[in-house]
Amino acid sequence: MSAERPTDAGNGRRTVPVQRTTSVRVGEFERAYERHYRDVYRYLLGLTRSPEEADDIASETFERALRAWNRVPEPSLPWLLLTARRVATDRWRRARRLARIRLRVRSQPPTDAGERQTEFWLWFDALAAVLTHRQREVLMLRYQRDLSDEDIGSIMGISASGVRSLVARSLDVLRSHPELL
Amino acid sequence: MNERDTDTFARFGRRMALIEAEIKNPPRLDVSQIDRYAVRKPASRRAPALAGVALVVAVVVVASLIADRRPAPSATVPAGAGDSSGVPAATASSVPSVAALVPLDPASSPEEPTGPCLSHTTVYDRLRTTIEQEANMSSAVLVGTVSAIGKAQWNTEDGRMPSSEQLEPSQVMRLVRVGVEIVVTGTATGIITVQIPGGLIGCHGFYVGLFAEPKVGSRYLMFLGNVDAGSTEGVVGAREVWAIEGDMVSTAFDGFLPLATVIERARGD
Repeated sequence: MSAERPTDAGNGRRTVPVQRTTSVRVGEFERAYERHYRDVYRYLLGLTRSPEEADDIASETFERALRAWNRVPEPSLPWLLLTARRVATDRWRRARRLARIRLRVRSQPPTDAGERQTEFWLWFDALAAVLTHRQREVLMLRYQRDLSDEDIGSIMGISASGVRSLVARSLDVLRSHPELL
Repeated sequence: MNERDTDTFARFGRRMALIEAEIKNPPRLDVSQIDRYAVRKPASRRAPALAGVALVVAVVVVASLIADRRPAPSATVPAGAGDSSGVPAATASSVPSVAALVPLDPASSPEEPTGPCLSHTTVYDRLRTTIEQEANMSSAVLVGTVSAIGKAQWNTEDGRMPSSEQLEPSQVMRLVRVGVEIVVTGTATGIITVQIPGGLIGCHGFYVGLFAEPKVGSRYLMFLGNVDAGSTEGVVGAREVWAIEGDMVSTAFDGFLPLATVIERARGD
């Protein structure tokens, strides 16, 4: 159709230039989407502690996956989680820059109608008080299915041995807070 | 991981499992619309990232408009082009091809590709245009209801399947019969035949972004242009097809907008 043609010769009007970016095997992408959406969303939920952010970043992650599907390695989960982490990091950096511009406007905690007071969130907020961000993240990635130490290391930007020691330290901290277990 | 760590992690995992109740199921992925807009939320979040591109597009479009102005209004909308949403009938401008009621199905069954069954989608990273610009680049814009959909066929000069190296989703098309309800710009008869890219040939699916998957009985906002060289005489080609749900239009770049708003913007009111 005219969508990939730069001009409409018939009526002489110029169309806006269009670039075809990729042609993907939708079946494979769909299967990965169905299989891993919850994995990505779960990871992002722990990372951002915001359902809205997790939803948004998961969408952007799969959009990027679709556009680059021919280059996404198999299994795709580590790639998806790494991409999700990068998208989330980009957003944090942007938000931080914005916060500098907005003169000391303090961010308010997300308001809700009580839905955040579920058992999970009560526990997870308590967890956040004793574990560092990276300790929480490594435990959550270890909680994900099918991720090796190498996969987790590539997502977090550390070595596999670094993953193991971080996990061990995190579990040490948890043991000192038995109420969280 | 030693035994003590394994036990601690197992207990952590049991608490962590509560997160499953917080996780929503994946939003439905519509294969026919499997482009960025199907996966993403509505477009307002992209505005900052696309602002630069939009500026470039604006320059291009303004330049093209200066070089190629639309003809002055000259005709009126055919009778019967009523508007259930309360939008007044249009004053027509350019005149698109008036389509005869050509057969929707190909004369013979199209040749099927060999190999495993796959769906192929072409994703376009299209530079952002406004509704007004899109309308300006279309020979007609209308709201219509699909009454029949033909079988998919090859959209090539000779109607034959292209070689596997040249095979693209846009080389498959369907003809759909559309009952015109509202002529937004341009003119159209009561029933027209529109060519839409993509379709299913055998077990091979071909889909192109920016085109809603047509369904009989559903309403669509259609930006019409010209047809490709390989298509049937008297058929109007679709530039974009946006689904209408209730009084809302699923636009390509601005998410859902009221139909009346889209019509006003397309007309340049």
